[in-house]
Amino acid sequence: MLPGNSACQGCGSTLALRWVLKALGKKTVIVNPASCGCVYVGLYPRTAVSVPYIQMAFAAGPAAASGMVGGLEAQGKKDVTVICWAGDGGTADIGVSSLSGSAERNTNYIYFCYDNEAYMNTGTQRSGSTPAGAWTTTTPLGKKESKKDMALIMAAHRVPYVATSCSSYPADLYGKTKKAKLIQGMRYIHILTPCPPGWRFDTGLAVKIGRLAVQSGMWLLYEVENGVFRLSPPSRKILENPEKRVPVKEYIRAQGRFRGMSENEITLLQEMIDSKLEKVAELDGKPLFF
Amino acid sequence: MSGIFEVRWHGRGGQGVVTASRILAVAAFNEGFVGVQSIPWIGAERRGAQIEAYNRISRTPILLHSQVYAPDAVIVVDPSIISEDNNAVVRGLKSGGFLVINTARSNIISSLRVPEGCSVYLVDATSICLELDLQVAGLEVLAMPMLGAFAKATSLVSLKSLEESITSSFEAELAKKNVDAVVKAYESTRKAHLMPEQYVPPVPPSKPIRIPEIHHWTDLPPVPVSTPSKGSIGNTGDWRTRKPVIDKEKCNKCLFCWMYCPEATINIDDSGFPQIDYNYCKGCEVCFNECPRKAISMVVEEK
Amino acid sequence: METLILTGNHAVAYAVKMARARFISCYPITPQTGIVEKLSEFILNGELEAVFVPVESEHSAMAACIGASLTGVRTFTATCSHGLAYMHEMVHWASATRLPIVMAVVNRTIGPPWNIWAEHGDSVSQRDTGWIQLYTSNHQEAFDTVIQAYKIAEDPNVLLPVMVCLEGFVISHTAQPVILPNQEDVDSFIPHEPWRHIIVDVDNPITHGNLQMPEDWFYEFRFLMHRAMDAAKEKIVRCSIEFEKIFGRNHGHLVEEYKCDDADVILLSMGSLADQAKVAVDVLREEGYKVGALKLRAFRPFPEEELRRVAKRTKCIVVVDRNLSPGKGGALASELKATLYGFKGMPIVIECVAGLGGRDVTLEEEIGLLKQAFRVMEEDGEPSGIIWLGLK
Repeated sequence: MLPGNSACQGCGSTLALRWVLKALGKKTVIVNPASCGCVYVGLYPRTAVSVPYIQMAFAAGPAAASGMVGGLEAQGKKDVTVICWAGDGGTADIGVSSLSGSAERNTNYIYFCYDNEAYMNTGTQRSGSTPAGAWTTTTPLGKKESKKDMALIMAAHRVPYVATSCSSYPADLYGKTKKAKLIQGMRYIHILTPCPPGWRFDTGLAVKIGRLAVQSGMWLLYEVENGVFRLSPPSRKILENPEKRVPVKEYIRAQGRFRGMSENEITLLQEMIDSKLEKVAELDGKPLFF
Repeated sequence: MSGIFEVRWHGRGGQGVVTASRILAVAAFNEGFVGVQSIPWIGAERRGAQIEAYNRISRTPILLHSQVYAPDAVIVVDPSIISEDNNAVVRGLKSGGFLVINTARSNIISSLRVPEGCSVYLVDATSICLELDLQVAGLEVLAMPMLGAFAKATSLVSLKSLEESITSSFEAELAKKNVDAVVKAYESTRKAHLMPEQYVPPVPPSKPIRIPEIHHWTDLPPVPVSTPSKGSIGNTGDWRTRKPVIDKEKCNKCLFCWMYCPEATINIDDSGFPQIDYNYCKGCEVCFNECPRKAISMVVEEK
Repeated sequence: METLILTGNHAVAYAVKMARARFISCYPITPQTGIVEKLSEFILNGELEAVFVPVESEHSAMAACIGASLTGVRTFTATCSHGLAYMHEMVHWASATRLPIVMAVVNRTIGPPWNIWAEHGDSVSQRDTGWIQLYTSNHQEAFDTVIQAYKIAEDPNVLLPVMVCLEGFVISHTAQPVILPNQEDVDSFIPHEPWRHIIVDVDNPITHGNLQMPEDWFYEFRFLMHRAMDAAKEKIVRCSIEFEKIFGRNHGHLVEEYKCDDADVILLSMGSLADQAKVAVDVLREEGYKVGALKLRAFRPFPEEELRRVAKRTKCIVVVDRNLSPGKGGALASELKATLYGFKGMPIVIECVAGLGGRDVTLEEEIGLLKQAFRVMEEDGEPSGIIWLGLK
């Protein structure tokens, strides 16, 4: 990832891509369906990524990656890692059929969803991945519906590796990407990437906001490896030490997009998170599905 | 006024240029101009990236839909654009036109070259925004005060029309802040007096050339492929309003700043200290917030 | 060399096998399915060494072909009708990436109501996507055109994807003799040399698709696609000539003329109707009518000069379109008229829309059309609107 690209200041997605590329190395090919990623690499005839980066139509990322994997396989080229680098709209909404198809075929690639929880490239419209309560230009009063849980949906495809991460935890992301690289078949990594203009916070807080998401339990870091669910250290820490858990209110109130949420709604959200964490504690280390 | 009065705005994404252009169109309509037009130039609009917007104002309906090439007035919301390329700002500006510039600094004036017969007006929009806390997501909405400066310079729209336009665009509290900014700017705008040698022949209108290395379609390959390069969009250091400065006395080389830099602008020097590439650092302040030793301070950029 | 009695679908599958496509991605749709089933069989029994990706939609089928073609391998897919419509976005993507993908389109009407039979509207409505479109009239031509398609698409001056169109059921599900050439001859006709203009190579990383501003070079890249279409015209002709030298047959180049030299009336059409029109011509010639048949092979690039050359010699062209643009008429008639307009000595053009939704078009109907053209000429009248063949 080279500097001087056209990402917004404080972009969580470019921070995540930096670490993903560090983990994967030079022998990597990226398919990037329409998303911020098709703009932030820069304008023709220059680009900010130093591995092949193929921009793709919105719904076509996983299928194009499947083709690339197949084309390389047909030529016996085995040392290249194909990845799809997609946003949450491309993942949870328009691209879900193509993504699910590639998972069902257990295509040998890594799919990364960088999740900034709305259509940020078009100016913040709601996506299936926008959390309840969040303002977007198409949910001016706050989204009523819940966030689609793509990582669990992908785990239900019984692919060999599913993980969640966050751009504020580069070591976590780097480790999971390194691990995924060595696994054969379809691998899915879902990265929460805070977005200053879309989430309405000062650019300098980009890392802090992601950390609050994890420390409050709003966003969980975990892996599902061969069906077994395992919490990652940052999330396990808040389970094992409830005193280190940050009230979700701190996360919510740090962002302009949740300004429409009432105290009551935040209390309810806190209860939901507490109950989620209890269930998660039981699941840790166990198979996720029957 | 007869014919069409054309305005070109120069600013950066996040400075409210598009909104201000819209407000100007409504204000001009309120003023009795039947033909008004606001043209937001949506390109790769990113916070900090250079953008242009346009207005047309006329006593009769406007049928033109192209961009503005020969403006009667140019509003420069971000003065760093002038330091980068004086001609980019004055290209096509009509002799006898207006150049309205946001700047607190006088040295930008001394280096300015403007077409003969133009009048130059100056206002310190940055200070007005800071004073009134007119910010969106950490960026000063510099374009708003420029409306006041434009009104003062051209007398084309009145403060009253601008106020009506703003009041109809924002909720009460925000509207008041914006109106205050416009009024303050109106009052503090002054005409600049340039040295005779600063007046130059008009720069002819032109379309921007962004990729100088390609001249003709015969230079092109079948498919537009891009090659890796720093500055794939240019020197993004210009996007900064504040600059991170590392205090090596306090720095313990933990490299959190390097780790968390979303832009990959922090390198590690031979002695293990982080080193910021100011050509590209966009000034997001992540490093400033993440440094555990508070060894990074943000310094207001002198532009 | 051997001759097999093959369905149109199987003829295409054999051609893909002999062209040694290395990557195939398909989604089932009637009446195309026979192609992909046969190809799966070839892969399973080792006759074809290719990666087959059974995707979850046509949109993904074309995306997968794009991905594979970007690695430099020969790719193939097949679809039609709703599948082609669903694929539309990626059809554009393939051509603007200048990838030499070959796709068989087994022409079928688009619903509702559901109708699985022949009509050219599915591929005709992809006219502006930047694909070369070749229409075939019979089983042998379908086979031969697939082989030629790879040679045309992969030419460094062309680098555009090719649709090979054959009508559903009329060709796809009927069986006729097909001569299969020797594999060595096919190999030497279309040796595979990977394209270099865009290739995924970790040692030479490039990004494809980066944003271009209006004053950048987007317009010029589209102009280059148009020029590539011009180059394709020449290539299609040269390819057809070369093919005949090796394999001993041709199906016309951009167009195929049949007894057009002295014809007063010519019937212009695409696909199976063009084959059948030759019979109509023979019947009428027996009766003393000076008629000819003209088959359009290449709908894109559109053979303007060739059509004008033929048109100049005749008095009337009857265009039979198996497609309809409601509110205008048949596509081929529109394009022919636009091609002839403004040139001296051009014939009158009679438009006919026929065979929509797979409605059978008989020999007698084609004969009737030609005779009707003579009546129009005798009355010295101008053609009055579209002839709706067999409208009940």
